[in-house]
Amino acid sequence: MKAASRRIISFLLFVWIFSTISFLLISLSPGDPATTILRAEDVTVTEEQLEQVREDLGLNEPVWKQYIQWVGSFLRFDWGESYVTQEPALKMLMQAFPATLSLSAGAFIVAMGVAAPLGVYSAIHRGTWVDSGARLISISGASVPNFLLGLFFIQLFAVQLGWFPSMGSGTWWHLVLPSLTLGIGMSSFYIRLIRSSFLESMAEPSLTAVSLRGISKRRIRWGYVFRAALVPVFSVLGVSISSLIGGTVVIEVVFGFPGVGSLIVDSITRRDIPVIQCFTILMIAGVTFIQLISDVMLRLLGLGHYGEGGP
Amino acid sequence: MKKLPDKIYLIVVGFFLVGIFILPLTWQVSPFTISVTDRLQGPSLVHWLGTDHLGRNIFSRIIHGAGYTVGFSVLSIFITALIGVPAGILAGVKGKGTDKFLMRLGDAFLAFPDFLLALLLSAVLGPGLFNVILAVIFVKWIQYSYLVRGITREVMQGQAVMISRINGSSFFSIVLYHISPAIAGHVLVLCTTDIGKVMLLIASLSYIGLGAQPPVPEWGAMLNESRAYLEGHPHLLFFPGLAIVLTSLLFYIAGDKCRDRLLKDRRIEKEETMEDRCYA
Repeated sequence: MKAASRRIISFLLFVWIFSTISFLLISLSPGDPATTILRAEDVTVTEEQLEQVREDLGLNEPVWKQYIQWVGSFLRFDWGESYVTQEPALKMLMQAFPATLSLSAGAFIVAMGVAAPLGVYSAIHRGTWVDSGARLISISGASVPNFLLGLFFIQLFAVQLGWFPSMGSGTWWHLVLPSLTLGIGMSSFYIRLIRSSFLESMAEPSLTAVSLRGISKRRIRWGYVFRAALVPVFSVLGVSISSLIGGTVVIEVVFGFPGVGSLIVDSITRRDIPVIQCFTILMIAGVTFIQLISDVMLRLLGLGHYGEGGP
Repeated sequence: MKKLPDKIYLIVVGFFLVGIFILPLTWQVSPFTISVTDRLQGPSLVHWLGTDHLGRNIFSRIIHGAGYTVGFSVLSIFITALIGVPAGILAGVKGKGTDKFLMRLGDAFLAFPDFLLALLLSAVLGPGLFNVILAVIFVKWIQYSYLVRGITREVMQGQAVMISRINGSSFFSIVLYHISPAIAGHVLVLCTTDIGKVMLLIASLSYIGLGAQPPVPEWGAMLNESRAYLEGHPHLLFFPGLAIVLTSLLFYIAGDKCRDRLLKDRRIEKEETMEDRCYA
């Protein structure tokens, strides 16, 4: 309990520090928001208008005053409005979020569906052709970037064969190619991880004692080895979920999928600062929160290595 | 892939690295010369890999792009190791407060995937290759520190170091004679595998338009520029894509070979050491 509260405190501290840094960096960065806003409205910009907009946004105040204002509105969940569309940034992100979530879920299912059977099978039947095949997949998966795989899939399945749509979103069919791409890219890492951790726990000396007690091979495999093999998989899950978020960005751009990723890339190229800021904070909070959850999961499973006093 | 002797890989990688830096200097065809009459040509004797939508020579662009894609990833990993390794040694040797401080600091960095950080940095500083390198350094240095720290602690607890300290060796001579031989192989392996990963990161970010910017012949940026020609002229995308895949495959296999060779004694059965598990 003590460890948990300590981690929650450090979580809040972490979010605060990083959001402050992001505020400072963005407010000190080159580029004038006022110009961005007025350009979005597509009128000839005069110096007067610029001054007016700067006044409205409070950009003429000193930085520390802006910061206090920013924290105040942050705590009231008023996280700014997009310079381009004038919509609340939080709302824009929330609208895009379900699409990204479904894409990540799809990718995760594909990755696990490919990696778990292949990894376990190639660990049990080491040296067979399935093992070499799994190795080939994991090597090529590690050296083919996701966007290239995506382009290849578009060319093959969408253009040549016409099975799936290549762009946009809406139906389940639109989800197939992006999640397949992302999932296969991810699975390469998991195949190796599951295989090696399975092998490692199969070599555990305590298993000899277990089998001497007359427990069947099958039960040893699934009851003992598999459980022990899950530990490293779970402990990287936290990290890999956050790298999955990174992966969705590229895939969304490749497939023109209207999720958080394409929104943020658009915002970056348009220098739409409130959206970027909102994304930054949510992302940092999300990533650290996921890590917190995966720690808690490990502890609940009795596999934890965090905190004092053991599980 | 099984029976080829390691030396061949070494020679190939060596030639490749030298080629990256020598070829752009000697190859006279400019990667920037636009010639509208020659646009979108297929591979021929004049233009070995054809020309792109502005009539630029693709072969020349790929050669010059290697300096960006591979060169920058080598550079960023070099800087990362330069920061991470000393920090790890310091934490491992000093222990106590220094160790705790560095590792706590590291936890904060480790929480963040490099891709997201690169994304956020390009949001703040505007798109560019520099951000990618900065992000890589920020995220990766701690992995080197963790690795080095672990080995250093092991070495420091050994008898050799104890005797050497009794005989009055200084901090530097312990680092030089005891610690650096122990960590060299591990760091080299980590560097080699990381270079491939960073390459893919640079290419991906450039592809979505947040890394290298268009006239630069970075491979990902080349793919981005010729995205519209996927249907009619696939060779525009095929060759840069092939370059990316082959190069990262080369580094991946080189890393594997290095690992087998240098870390043979440390693990016989295991394929992956704990330090690898930092990645996902």
